[in-house]
Amino acid sequence: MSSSISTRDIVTIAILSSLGGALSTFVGYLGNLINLSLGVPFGAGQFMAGLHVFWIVLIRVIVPKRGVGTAGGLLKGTVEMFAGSTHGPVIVLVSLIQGFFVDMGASAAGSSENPKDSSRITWWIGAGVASAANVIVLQIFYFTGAPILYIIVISILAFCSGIIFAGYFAWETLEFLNDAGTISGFQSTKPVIPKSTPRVVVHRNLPAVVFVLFLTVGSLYYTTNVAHVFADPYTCEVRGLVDNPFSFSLEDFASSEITIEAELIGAYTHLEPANYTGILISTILQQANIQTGAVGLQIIARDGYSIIFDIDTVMTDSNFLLTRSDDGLWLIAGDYDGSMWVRKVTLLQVY
Amino acid sequence: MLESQNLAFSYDGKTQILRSIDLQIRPGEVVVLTGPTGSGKSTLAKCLSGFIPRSIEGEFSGEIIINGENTSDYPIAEISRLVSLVQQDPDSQICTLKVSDEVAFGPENYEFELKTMEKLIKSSLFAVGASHLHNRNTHTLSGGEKQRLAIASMLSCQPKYLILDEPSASLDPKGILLLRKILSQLKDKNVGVLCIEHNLDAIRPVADSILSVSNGTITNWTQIEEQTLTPSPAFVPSNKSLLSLEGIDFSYGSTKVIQDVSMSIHEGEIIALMGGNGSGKTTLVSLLGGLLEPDIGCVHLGKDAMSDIDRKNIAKRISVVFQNPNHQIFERTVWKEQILTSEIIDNMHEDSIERSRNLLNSANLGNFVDRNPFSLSHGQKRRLNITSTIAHLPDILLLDEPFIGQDQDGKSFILNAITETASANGAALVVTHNPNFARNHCNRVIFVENGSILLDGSPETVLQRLVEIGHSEYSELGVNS
Amino acid sequence: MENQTEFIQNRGKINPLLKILLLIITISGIMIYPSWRLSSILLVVVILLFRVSRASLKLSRNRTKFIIIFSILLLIFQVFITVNGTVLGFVIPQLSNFGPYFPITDYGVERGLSIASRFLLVVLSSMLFVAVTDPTLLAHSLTRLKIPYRYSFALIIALRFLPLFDSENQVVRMAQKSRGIQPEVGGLRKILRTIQYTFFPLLVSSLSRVESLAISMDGRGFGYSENRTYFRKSQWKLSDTLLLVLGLGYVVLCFLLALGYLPILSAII
Repeated sequence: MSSSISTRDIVTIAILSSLGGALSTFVGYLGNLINLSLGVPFGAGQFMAGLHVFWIVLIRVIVPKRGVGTAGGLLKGTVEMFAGSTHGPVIVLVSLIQGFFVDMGASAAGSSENPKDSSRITWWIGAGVASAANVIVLQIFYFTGAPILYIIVISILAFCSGIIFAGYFAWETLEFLNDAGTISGFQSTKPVIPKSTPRVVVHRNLPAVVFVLFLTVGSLYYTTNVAHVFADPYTCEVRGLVDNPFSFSLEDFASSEITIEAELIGAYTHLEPANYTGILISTILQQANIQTGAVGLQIIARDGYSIIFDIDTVMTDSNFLLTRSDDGLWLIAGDYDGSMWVRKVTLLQVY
Repeated sequence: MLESQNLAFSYDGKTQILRSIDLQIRPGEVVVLTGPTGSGKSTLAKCLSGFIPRSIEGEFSGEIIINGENTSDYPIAEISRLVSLVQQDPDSQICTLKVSDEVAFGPENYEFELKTMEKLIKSSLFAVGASHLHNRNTHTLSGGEKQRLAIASMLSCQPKYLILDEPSASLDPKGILLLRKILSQLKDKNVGVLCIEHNLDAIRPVADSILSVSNGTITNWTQIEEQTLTPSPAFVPSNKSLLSLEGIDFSYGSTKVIQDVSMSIHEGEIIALMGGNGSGKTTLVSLLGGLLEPDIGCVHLGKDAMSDIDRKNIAKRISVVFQNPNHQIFERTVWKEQILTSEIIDNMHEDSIERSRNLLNSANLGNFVDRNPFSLSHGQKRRLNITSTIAHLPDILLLDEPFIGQDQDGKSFILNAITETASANGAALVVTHNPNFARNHCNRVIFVENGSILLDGSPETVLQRLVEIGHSEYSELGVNS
Repeated sequence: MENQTEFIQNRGKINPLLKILLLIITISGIMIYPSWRLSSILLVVVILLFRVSRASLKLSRNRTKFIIIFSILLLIFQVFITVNGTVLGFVIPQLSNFGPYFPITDYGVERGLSIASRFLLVVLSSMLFVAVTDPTLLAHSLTRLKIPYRYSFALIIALRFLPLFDSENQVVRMAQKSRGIQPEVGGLRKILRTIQYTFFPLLVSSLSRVESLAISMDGRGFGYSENRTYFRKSQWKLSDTLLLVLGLGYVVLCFLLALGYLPILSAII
């Protein structure tokens, strides 16, 4: 299929990428105007996210070939990098991923079909997802550990922006360009819809179904595996040199609950002696069954903080437990300095 | 010899653009082809260079014969090595970032050796008098330089025949003189040239024969007495200044384009703003329209400083029309476009609606009110640019080359709009290369060079002075007339 | 752009393909092993390279402002969301019964620094890359990755039109101004109209160039053969291979550091 890309196609992709890159400053300027009118220092930028995907959608519709969205995204990002975008290669990556999602949406919508009718919704959802993708990429680069609520809100904002600007507005634009005679074939390929038997309906919607399925599975995978940081703050995992790695919540050990008194003595902070109720780390590790040869335990928090203890000391320490607090599981290291107390514990790694 | 036999073409199968074209171009010959707008000249150029029917679809019949061989089986790349086409807009034909890369583009694709390439780049740039440009970035070139680069980058493919579509369109009189020189040198090199041209005066001196296309066939061109527009009655401008610049300097980045310019536009004046490409005419228009802020100096609209006047108020009083019609159309239908400014400046009442309607009718756009404005022809768009900015009766018109691509009716419509505004105690400033327009319709000519006003006075004196100071081409060549 | 010729002569020794690989490698490494000390070292290297290549490090005032504000923002953001580590103080100190809230910890500051320096590294290294890379040579070098030259040429075309579209954008904005059109953002309708007024004219005018350019390129043998020759092309030299190996070594090092195999070294950087 790719071999049939004509010079005209290449030129179209290049010119639209270039125009998109040239206008990205205008889009930024609009975002600033909105910020000003709302009286916030930043944030409305994401409301404009869809306008970046707009160009990729345009490219993919005007040059209806598989992979063109990804290529267009890559090119537009590279143009922006050469035009002096602050984020440089990060923009290239964002744009590339957006292009990929537009391609996915397009394939799901059935590229040979006229993008105007039934498949339009699939296109628009694809555009929305592509817009939201920038939030995830930027989060990985610059906002690691951001609260999930924040990410969800911003992603939804970007998704809506994608639907509005890269979906609705892109279609308006395409119809307009077609009407102006600038592009051809956007409307004219409207297929004669055959008398739809149920089978045909299923067949025609199959790509859309697959696409929605892909989205669901993808987002599930993301939330469960990739974004383990978003998982329930009250569950924790045991991994490493153990026979029986598992994930648990404190309720699983309800019968072994104990209470100790401990005092946090830090360099600058001090928590008065208080009672902490929870499960001893040694109890938890016993259940996992530590392999011979293990020397240490690394306790890792959601924010990436980690700290190392000697495994033998841990197994005999009766002032060393996980307790439940407002924001997650806390490690109470009664016999240690305050900096060894870890909040939001998510992983016990035996090594 | 490049020949076409019985050539016919239609894009949609209904409207026949070309009916039966028989044409011959011999090596070393410059054939000029003229004809009215929309007569199919550019279509013929694309047929002769092989793009029709190879890249552009339609109903094609007839034969193209090159040096006795029928070319109907040739792939596009083969025909292109024999016949090259330089299209109208040079900016749309440059695909690389550097001048030398652009000229190398063809030879690279045809897998020439580095040594051959170097030679071809040198000789091709030399042939268009652009050797000094070889290291420049393409986007920094002027319109005329881009045009020459487009020709050079075709010459480097060593074609036997060259087709030029309206090569003088983006040139100033100096550029036209250079074009003549290039054409006569091509003759010496035994290249056959077909030159499609509106502006016959530009290249008649080097033409071997002149043909004309109309109704899809070719005839020998005969001089038709061009119906000249009746000269406008001479106004006596008053001394009341409508718009003035005082000691203006302006730069784009570090490039100074306007240097210490002072001028006033008075009631009743029709001014022709003349000067070479890149002399700062368009920038001057933008400064006059309050669209650019001068670095030094001030602009006055009436008695008030431009910077103190509300944007909408300026829009009410000054109308600006730029060169490219596509850059100044914003709405989805012709009618919406027509009333856009009136809506913005709250000038929507029955009179103005009536006036808008009349304007569209007199511009021959009355039947298109519901059309997408971008689907109009180039000439129609340009007329819409004008009707849509004068419905609210502004005092001052600033028009950048408004007559390009207009037929007789279009020209007289625009001229009418200009004289009407001037006679209603307003004024108009028109950027033009056409000395006949300046002579017959203007009461003042300003000539700019390198961002400064060189000459300013009545048309007779300024055009006379131009001859005296060695710029005779500006007062003689009726460019774009 | 104007100054690029100069840079090519100065830095023409490194293959542009390698330059982009090194850019990717640098940033990947810092993602794998997010340490502020490592990014600071790399930052210093990048700034030194600016000096060596005589690329200018001039930024407009707005850009500088944005970069500084954004880095500080990234720092503060991490300080806010990180609760572990030795507490150095509180953003909101204890006032009788109120507070204290938002502890500032050494670990939070470290993370903030790491991300802020990562951001600065991305900004500066990509500026350096753009300043020292001739895009034409880059596009031609991509054919080394078996990318057909017709595809990689899209980059050259896109960059060639960038300044043209920039200036067309200015003209359209001036034309809007002359008609009294001002950008409005109050409400979705108005936003869409503002965008339409800028996008539609530019789209029509740029798409109308497609056919001319395609014809012009086809007419000069674009795609005539699978291969083509080059008037200017950078060679891949032994030094390029060595630099690439060095770059890959850096990535391996980052992996080892991240996995904790080099505890002594990771204590330092």
